[in-house]
Amino acid sequence: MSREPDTSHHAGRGHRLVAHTADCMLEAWGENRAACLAEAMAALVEVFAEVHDDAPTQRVMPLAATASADVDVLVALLEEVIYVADVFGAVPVRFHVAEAEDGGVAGDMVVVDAGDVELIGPVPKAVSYHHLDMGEHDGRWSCRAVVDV
Amino acid sequence: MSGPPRLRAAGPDRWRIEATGAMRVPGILFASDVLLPQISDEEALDQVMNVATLPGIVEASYAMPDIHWGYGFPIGGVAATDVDGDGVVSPGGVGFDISCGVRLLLSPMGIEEIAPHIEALMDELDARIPTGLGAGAVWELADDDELTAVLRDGSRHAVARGFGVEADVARCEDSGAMPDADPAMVGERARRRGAGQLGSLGSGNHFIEVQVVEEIVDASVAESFGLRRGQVCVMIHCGSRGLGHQVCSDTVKDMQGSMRRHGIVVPDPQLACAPVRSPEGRAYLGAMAAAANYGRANRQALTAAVRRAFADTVGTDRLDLLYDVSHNLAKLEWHDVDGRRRLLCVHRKGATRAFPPEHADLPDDLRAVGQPVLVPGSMGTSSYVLVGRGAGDAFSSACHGAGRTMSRHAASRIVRGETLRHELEGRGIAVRAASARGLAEEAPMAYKDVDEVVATCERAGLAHRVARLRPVGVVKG
Repeated sequence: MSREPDTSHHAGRGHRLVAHTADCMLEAWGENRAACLAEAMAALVEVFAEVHDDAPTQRVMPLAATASADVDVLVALLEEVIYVADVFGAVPVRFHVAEAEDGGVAGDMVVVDAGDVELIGPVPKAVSYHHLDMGEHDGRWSCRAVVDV
Repeated sequence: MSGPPRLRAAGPDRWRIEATGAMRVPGILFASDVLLPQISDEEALDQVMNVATLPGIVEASYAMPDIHWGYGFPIGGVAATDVDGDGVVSPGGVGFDISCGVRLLLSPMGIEEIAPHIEALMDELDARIPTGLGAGAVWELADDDELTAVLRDGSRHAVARGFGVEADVARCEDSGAMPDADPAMVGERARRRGAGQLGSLGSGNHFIEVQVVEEIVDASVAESFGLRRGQVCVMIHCGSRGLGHQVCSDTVKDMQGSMRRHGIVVPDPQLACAPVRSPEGRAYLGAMAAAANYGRANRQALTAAVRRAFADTVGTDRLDLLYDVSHNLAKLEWHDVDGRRRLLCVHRKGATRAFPPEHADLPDDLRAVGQPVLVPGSMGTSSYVLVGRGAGDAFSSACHGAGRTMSRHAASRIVRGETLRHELEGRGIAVRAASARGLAEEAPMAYKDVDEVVATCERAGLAHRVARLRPVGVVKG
């Protein structure tokens, strides 16, 4: 398996789920790091929930990751999705991620109660460092993470 | 460490990968000719070789017959390090779901007595067992101090709070609580994730099954275990929920930072590790033991809910615990290596401890017989009760299940959840599932044949078959 996610056939920004025998692998890409991170978080939600924007109860929760290696920022944001699901029974439906002045990222996510989305699969519980990758290649950002469900 | 690993026959259903490159010991795979093609093209064997590079590893990097591709360690991997020889502990060798494990409860009733009530029983179990996201938990902890008590005392505290009987504690690995648990080493995020999930099944491959003893293979051991043909039993498979996952996640990050200081290099970041005797190693083992105790208390709280469901529908809550054993854990154990008794840190990641008869750590009333080894099959297929036997190869370890051959993603593309539900119900298995796709992801076709996995364990001398169990109802997380 290559060390970089194969997203060469995708333009702009996006994400997809890829087979992994242990659990689930996600790949995301975007025109910059923030876009790529937001797509990765959306991919993680897609593992377990069918998201609709018109869910009745919506809250905005802050997002932040301090400056560190790109893969660590990726893990921090993905773990935030897992944490709000586990602790608050909340499912993020939209993400806003921006570069912060200190080299980290900041933003927020709109979340809805789990009862207001269609749960379609097991909820991820952790992010693995196995085959974890994030970086800029030919002016595009892409990432890959294996998540434990 | 890529490329096709070279397997050399080394005995009945036993294959050897010679130590090359950075490997400190060989790899040993237990697999039959039937299972081998399902294993040898996987990344799992690369992972067996990667584990063999861990500092202080002794004897071999072992792979059980149900091995499949994990992260860092393969799932179905066993590795022991010499504690007094700078051996390391690796959280990846335990896995995210610390003390994920199985317990088996035995009913005095036969299937003919339960059968008329099975739909009512399954409805009651479905109502009482929290599954999936935001479903709550059986046990609402009073406060943070009570969570600390659970982390310290495991299922003993659960029983003290009315979630079971004293006999349950005696039949739980470590008498219900790992010693040396250090709740102070469990981080704040882990505690918050665990606060509202005690007594919940979660999702993924976790389940509660009502089963019937279909076949007795070893009548003598079965009698000692209290198993008889036609008897109803309940298997609970789950772990330490979000708390255990967070402990693993936190520690992998911390150890990645400390490895350079210890002069350790690993071929996969998920193999991050620290010497057992180092502050980082001790901190992890304290947190891991606390999370394991949470896992045992979780299964104990679910047991209480199952007993209530039985009382309400079949008229008796009597369900005797045969045994509760983890298949994701690292334990400090004494083993003979190269003719010398050594203290080892034995990692079992998707592998079950299988102590032989006369082992000092077995409950008094099981010591003469050996440890029950509980092996759940894939959904809708047989599960097994084995017993630890013989020389205790692979540091007295055996398989933990059927082992995946297909990703969840692939399974859910091939099988529709509702189709599978109808198929299972057509075979007399009542299904209660949190989500249709979750059901599809656990389709039996996504797993190896558990009969072959268990037979391989027996031929390889890891454990001996006692009884085969058939499902009649499943609550799926």
